[in-house]
Amino acid sequence: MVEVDQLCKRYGDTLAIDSVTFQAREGEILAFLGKNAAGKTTTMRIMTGFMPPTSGTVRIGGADIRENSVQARRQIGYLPETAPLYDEMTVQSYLTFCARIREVPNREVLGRVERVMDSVNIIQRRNWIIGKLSKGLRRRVALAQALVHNPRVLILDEPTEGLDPEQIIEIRALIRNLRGDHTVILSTHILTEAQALADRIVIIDGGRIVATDTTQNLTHAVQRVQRLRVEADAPLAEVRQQLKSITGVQLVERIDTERSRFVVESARDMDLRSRVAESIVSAGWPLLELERLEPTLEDVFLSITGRRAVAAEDVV
Amino acid sequence: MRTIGTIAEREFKALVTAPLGYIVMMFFLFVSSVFFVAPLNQNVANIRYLIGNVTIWLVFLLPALTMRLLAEEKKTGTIELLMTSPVTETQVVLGKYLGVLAYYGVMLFSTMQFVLVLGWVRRSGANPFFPTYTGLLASAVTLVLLTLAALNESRPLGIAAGVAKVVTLVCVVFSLGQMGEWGPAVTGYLGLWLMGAVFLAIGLLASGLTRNQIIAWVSTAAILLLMTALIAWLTGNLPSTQPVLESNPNFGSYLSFGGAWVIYVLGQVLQALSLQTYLENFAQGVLDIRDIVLYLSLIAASLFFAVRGLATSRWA
Repeated sequence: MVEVDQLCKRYGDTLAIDSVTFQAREGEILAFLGKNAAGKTTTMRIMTGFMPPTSGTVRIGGADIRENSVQARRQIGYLPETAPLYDEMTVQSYLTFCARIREVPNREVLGRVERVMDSVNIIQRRNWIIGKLSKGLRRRVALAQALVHNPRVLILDEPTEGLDPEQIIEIRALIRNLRGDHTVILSTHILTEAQALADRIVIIDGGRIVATDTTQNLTHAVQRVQRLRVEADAPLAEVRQQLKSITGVQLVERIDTERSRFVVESARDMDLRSRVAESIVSAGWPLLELERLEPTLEDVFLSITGRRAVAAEDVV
Repeated sequence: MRTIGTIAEREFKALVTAPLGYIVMMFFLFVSSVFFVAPLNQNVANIRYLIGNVTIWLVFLLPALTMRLLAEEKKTGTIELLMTSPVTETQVVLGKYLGVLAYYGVMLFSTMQFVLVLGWVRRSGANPFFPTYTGLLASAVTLVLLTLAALNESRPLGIAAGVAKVVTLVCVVFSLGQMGEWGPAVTGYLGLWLMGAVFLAIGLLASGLTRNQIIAWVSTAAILLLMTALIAWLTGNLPSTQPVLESNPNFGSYLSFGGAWVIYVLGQVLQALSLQTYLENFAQGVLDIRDIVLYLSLIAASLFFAVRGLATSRWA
């Protein structure tokens, strides 16, 4: 559906993106994960035909974004980094304008605008002046703009940026609903967001793609150890001693200053949960918590780029 | 074609719904009223005075309408919406131009009252109710309805405004009949409209070259001032007859003959570029094809370069 091949963009002497190559298949959600200034927005601007690449090609549904630009742009819905809103228009007239310049047939315009206002939940603000809307509502209008002509490909640049937790949950649910009917490419610097939404993840760092795979494969690839979180209601030192004595345990790490909470590491294919539970209970202590820790994208990012990612704003 | 119409409609509405459009209209009406009433006090019932003097004000007023056209879109990021939609650069430029040209048309239309009053003044014995009072009323009704139609996006109101406008124009035609010598008024208006069209095209070009509206306004006004007042002043001071070589030429007289030719040619070229000269022809009822060709080619050239400017930002 979307083929990006060997994309390069040079600003003066600096290479903003370097040989970016990836594909998005029909109906999947692809997350573009990277730190700020990793080249996400640049790539998206080139993909939508807003900016020319220095070299490389982008094909949307077979149409080249430079050779056959209008045909390619017909299939795109794009949410830029800054919401492209005309402040003096009302929500409804703005969306009507967007539908019309996206070649929605005249008699379908009204219905489409109605439906999209409903799906992003702004129908009760339809006659508001956009300039008077709050940031979250503006973001929703901007998302509605990208959806109004029912495009096959949606390109969303940081769709949840600047929203409060409740709005983020709403927008994510909306994006999840698009899977199957639309090919969605979204960019984010929040690891949990990519994990929560995407079928596949493209990790970009310093303008280069460092990994492309499904969430499971990526996490599996970097999983070298199995980790458990354990909490028992007993003195610190005794619990540590008890945990260390279990066969298979390689490392015991304290993660709380007051309570007896530990992370226990073992070999990758070893499930120590039953042994740990048994051991704690047999010592006569109440077991308060026992959980297997899945590796996070944070770990993936770390192991691939060798650097720390932006701290995840954990809201979901 | 529909896309151009959609963009033009949005531009027109933006002028009607924002304060800027009204400020420009108010100033224009105030200034033109002054130039209409001033000669009446000296018992000269003529529109020529108005047309000749209002130009210099248009030099400052019309760039205020065009300054935001593209500069604002670049500044707020809405240009990304247009450039990633299936819209060509030509459609963007033509749509915006037609929108602002239509608004200028409304501005000129609102001065039709002068013609209505002139017809009545010239033939004092005539019935004042038709066409004068009827026309004045219809013209006021048109403007109110047009504003309401744009604000409420109402088609019936728009049609009603159109009907009122036709009524006004019919009254204006009768008024012209009463005036007797109606040619200069008609060609004068045509000239004023064409010259405004040139101003707007140049303003649109300037707006496309910057993202700062103030720069767009100042540079447009400066260029227009150069093309009207400054050139008129210069050509007034340059010799308008071909230089003659002395009968007994020495080296010095050859030099001064050459110099005089250079100045003469310069004067002729400047004269050809002076918009003011042509407008005076129009105001006297002279319809010269050369004038119209100059105006139209200036419009075409400005719009062409505006399109190139937009395309460059996308592809260069």
